[in-house]
Amino acid sequence: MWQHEPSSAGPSQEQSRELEALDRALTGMPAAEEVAEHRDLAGLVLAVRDDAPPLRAAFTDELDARVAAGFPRRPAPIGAPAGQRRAARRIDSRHWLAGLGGAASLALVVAVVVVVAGRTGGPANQAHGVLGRAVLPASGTASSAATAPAPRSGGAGAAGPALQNVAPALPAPPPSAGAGAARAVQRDASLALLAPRGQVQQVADRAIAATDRLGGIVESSSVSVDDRGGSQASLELRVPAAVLDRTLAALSALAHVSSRSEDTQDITDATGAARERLAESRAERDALLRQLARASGPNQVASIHARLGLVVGRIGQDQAQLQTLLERGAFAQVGLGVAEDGQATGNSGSGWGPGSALADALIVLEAVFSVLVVALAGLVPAAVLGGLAWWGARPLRRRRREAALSS
Amino acid sequence: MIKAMALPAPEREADQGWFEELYRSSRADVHAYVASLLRDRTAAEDVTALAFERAYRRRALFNPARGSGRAWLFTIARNAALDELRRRRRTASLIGDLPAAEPSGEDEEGRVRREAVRVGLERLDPRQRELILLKFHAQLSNAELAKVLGCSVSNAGTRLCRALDRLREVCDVAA
Repeated sequence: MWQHEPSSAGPSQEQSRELEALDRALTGMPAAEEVAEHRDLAGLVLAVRDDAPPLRAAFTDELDARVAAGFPRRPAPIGAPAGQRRAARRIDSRHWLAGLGGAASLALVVAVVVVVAGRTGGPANQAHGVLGRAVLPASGTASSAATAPAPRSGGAGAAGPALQNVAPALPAPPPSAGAGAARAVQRDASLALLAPRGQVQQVADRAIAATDRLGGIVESSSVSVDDRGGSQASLELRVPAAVLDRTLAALSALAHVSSRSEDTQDITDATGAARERLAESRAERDALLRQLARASGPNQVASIHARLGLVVGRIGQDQAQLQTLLERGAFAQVGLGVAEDGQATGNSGSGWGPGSALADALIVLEAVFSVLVVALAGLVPAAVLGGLAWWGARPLRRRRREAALSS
Repeated sequence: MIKAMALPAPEREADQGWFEELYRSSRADVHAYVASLLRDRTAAEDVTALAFERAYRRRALFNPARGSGRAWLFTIARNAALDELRRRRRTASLIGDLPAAEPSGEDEEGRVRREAVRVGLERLDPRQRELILLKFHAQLSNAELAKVLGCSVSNAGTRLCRALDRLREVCDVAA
């Protein structure tokens, strides 16, 4: 390789003069003032240049035409010269690159669609998630009401164990057509709303106001904000069963309803059983009181007192259980979830207009930017390494090329 | 560059004026250099066409601050020619004989001198022959020659002088 050949300290003065003379000879300048040993350079230059074969007219015409046409790409025919075949291979490789670019673009679009779909499905999922948390206790209560009624409000705590023992004996009967108006029914409902961005708190406040207006109570409410600024609310409401439909209608008008469900359970038998147990306990208490009135000896009095205490305790449990069942029939449990709708910008939250389109566009751009950032995180170091490798391989490529001159 | 050429830089990629001027001013020299190096007329035409096509496709990458258009073009042509030589070595094909140019009206002394130079070139070390051909056909300055060869200017000058001295010696012997 040239760089590796000894170069001493550069051309000497004599060599410099010769190089200048050569440059003059190459440009056709007169060599009269040159020293004698340089006068042959013009002849040497002429001889070397004359020895080269002239351009064929046909080749010149063809090349002129290709230059004038801007070197249009054309497939190399089979058996074409090596240069044309290599050019065709190069063009093929460009087609490969174009295909690769198209595939990468398609993958990018798919990624964006997946991300956007995940985003757009997000709020609804969030609402369901909120709803799930809000409703699960309610539905758990509802289902346990059919099998093992759980204690509700204060005062019923002592009835728990006794009720759990009673529960297996009280399977929920299927609703009978002839039950009529005497049937006791427990109704629960769940509602998931998608509020416009930034209006979750407002929708939750309206829901509370509507519940108060219809005579219901808010058992619990919570509004949370996630790390991305999105908020969601979870409310557990109890409304008179008679106004449940009106309540649901009022809540549904507050925002876009993403899901709604109602659950009805017949608790007639459970209520009747509780009522009978209470009546039996009271009858037993009355009987014990009558026995106490007729008791003669202190031992008999003490025994009746002990039995009376047990019966009074059982009466309290039976009363609490009956009260719980009556409340469950009189009030409906409503689980309300409110999530932020990323697409909704209006009050209805269900229309798709310029605002929604802009929101969609921002989501798409955000997704594209995210994908690009992730892609760049891998591509930039690879490109830097590739560039360094390419730069470092330049001497190697030059050496390999010039090795062809070593034959 | 020695040859008087004032080639404007391409202001737009679509501007072919600059490239066509470069093409017309150097196509014969590029072909002569490549043909003298490859000693094969067909391959020389292929490589010449390929060099101009490469230059055309890469003309937007040309940076006048890094050298003249002619030096840039001969760098491309040299790489293409060396690649062709490498390919021939891999395929073990023989380099064909290039028919000698026969200038019309040439006297006997001129014919003898040209024949001696041809023999002298063939006897040169391939690297020295390539240097002579590049310098004589491309007519590059020593700085441009160094850029094409990838060496320092003084290095290029020294080697060019050595190649000239060697050419003179073998030509004298041949004559």
